[in-house]
Amino acid sequence: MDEFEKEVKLDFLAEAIQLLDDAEQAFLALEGDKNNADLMNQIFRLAHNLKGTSRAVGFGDVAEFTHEMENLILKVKEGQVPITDAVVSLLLECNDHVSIMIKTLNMDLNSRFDSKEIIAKIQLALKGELSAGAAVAAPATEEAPAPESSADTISAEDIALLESFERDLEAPREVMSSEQKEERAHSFFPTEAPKPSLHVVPEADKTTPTAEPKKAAPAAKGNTEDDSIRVSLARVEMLNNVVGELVIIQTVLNQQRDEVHNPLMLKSLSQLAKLSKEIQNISMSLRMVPLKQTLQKMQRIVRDTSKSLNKKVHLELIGEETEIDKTVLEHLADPLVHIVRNAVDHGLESTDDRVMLGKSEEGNISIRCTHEGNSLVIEIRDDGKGINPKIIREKAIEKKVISANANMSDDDLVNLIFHPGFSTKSEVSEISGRGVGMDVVKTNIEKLSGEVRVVTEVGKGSVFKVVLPLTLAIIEGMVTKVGDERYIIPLGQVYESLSPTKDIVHHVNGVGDCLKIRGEVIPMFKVSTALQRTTKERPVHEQIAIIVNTEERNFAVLVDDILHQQQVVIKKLGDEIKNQKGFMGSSILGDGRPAFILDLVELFSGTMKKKKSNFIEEMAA
Amino acid sequence: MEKDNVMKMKRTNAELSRFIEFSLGNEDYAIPLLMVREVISVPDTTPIPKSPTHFLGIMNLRGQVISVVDLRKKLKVETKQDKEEAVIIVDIGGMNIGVVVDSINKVLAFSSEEVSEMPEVEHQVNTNYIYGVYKKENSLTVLLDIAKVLDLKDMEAITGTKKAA
Repeated sequence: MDEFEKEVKLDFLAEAIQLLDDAEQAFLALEGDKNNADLMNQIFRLAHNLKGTSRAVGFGDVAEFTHEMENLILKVKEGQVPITDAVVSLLLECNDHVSIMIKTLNMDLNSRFDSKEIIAKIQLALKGELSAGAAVAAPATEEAPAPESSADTISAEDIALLESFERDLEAPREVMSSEQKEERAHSFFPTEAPKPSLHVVPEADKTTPTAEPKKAAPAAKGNTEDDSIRVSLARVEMLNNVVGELVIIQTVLNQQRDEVHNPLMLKSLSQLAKLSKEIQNISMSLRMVPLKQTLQKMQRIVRDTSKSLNKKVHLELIGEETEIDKTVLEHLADPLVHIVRNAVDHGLESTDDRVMLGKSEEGNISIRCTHEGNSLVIEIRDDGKGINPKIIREKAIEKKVISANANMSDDDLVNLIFHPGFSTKSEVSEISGRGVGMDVVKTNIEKLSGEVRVVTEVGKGSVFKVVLPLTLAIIEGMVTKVGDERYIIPLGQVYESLSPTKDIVHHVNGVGDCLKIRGEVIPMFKVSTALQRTTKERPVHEQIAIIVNTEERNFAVLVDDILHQQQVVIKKLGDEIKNQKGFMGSSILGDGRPAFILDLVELFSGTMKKKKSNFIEEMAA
Repeated sequence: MEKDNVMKMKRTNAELSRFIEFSLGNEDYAIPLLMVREVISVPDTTPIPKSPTHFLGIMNLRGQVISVVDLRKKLKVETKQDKEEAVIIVDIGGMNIGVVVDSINKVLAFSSEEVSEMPEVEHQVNTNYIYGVYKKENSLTVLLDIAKVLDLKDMEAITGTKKAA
């Protein structure tokens, strides 16, 4: 495969992912609004586009399958096949199938696929014989537990399998490729490419006279979205770097202000200051993306989960336009999926129970996103049965999470659901219980320096509140001095700082210096020793102790001085020193010189024996 | 190994190849010009704790934090007395590293025929970071594969898998 061909294929894959996302949204919307002709047209264009381009770039298997899919959509569009739930489910299943193919191709461009089974189902649907039960059951058995993650695992297995087929298929594919090359040529002329299929569907042409299939996707959503371009994160980072420098130079210039007497110069200086501030704001905002796409995936999660549980659920999204840093967003999807799935499975009662309790038949889940100061707040609210602290307490005692006589508030009890190894449902269900519980959600969110709490009222429902920093690129840091060098300690790791006066420092044989504060003895380490720096030894009581408080253990570290506290932009370290333990990254300080950001917990993780303390028990005692 | 390197160079550079020549102590070395992003004077650096001695520290290159390596220490070459010192910022597969040298001499342009293989010597230290040797009128310039000098072979493997994934 030559470079050009590879590039064309990779371009297609990137485009296809976008098309599939759009298609999924359209299918879901179609379910609610079955007579919407515009939607149907949009779906048809998407499918047609997918088929056309996949064939043009030489993904025969994808083209073959999407052709079948297009057939079905055409029949539905023309009203020959009624839009039933079963058909929509089948279409979604088709969509998943294509996205598995695309994901697999992304990893190996030579992958081949077997779509016989699902094509057979399409054929059935075309004949109008698709029974409602069969299609609804299909997603439940095949992929309902975790459409997202199962797609990943399947594709990984597929690859291994496909690779073994690969060798046998090598020869015939070579023959095919010469034909494909010819077809590929069409992709240069987007308006020509679809011609062979256009005459098959004259209606489509009439209803959308301007829509060239190549441009169908943007046209379909053109009205609602701004014009945008795709820019690589690396480029944005580069811009941010340069702007950061600009701001530093700006500060230097500002410090020279007093020596400037030329009024024009002074005026220009203050204008420059204003402009660079503005540029900085804009360049930082480039990393921000709306939550919309991630939230819309929840529609699908709710749909699939509620279908397989036979519950009626209405999902409301509020504040989809709220923006958050791209890197935060990427890690947010999994915890959110878990919380939402949990809300449908455990939170909401079954339809019968709801009716009995006098609630609306349809359960309600809402996801509301807002900015609060420098944080993003996501509230996932359900109007289900709520979490009963009494049950949690019994479970917690049974699972030995807390002691039988622990005295805890209801609020603390409810938040025990985030404790490792805690699941209130006695039997693990297919939907939420997959060995991982809410503790994983909590760990994942804490990795993003965020937090999660739950507020609940028995019988009325629960609210999961996730609070996240808007960006991971900037943190509050404490600039400290060790010898002549400066190191930044993330403020999040600093519990308190104090002067280790002689009366609280104790030397313990075999352990070294310890600090006795408020009746607790904690070990004390030197940052200079951990970093293997040779510094002039200063007496301990002239140094400053920083107390680090983690769930597992507390300890103190000694630095020579704390210089100041500031927001620092985290810069990644080069690959050559990335594997050094104890560094979170680096940052450029006000004078333009770089300094390392320490990860104290990691730096001292080897120094101490892991002390397994059950902090909740301590808290409760 | 050296043969491979020369062969590879001959294949890829049928015409003139350009190298930037610099001095380390009394010896002349050169690296491909295309790998050089820029040349700067030695900046302020911040030492990297727990790193090998040839790691001079990290520096701020217009907002980007990059590592600076002292090539003289890495190759165990004695430093010249009247040193000027310069830092060559090299680009190795997208990764930027600063390399401290004694002085920059000039840009060399030569055809691959003028490059000879590294002479085979028994018990010699690992020399696979040397492309070959370029003969000048009365001296020699050693052509370095800078990625191999800096032991970044493993890094290439890592970035390679990243791209594939």
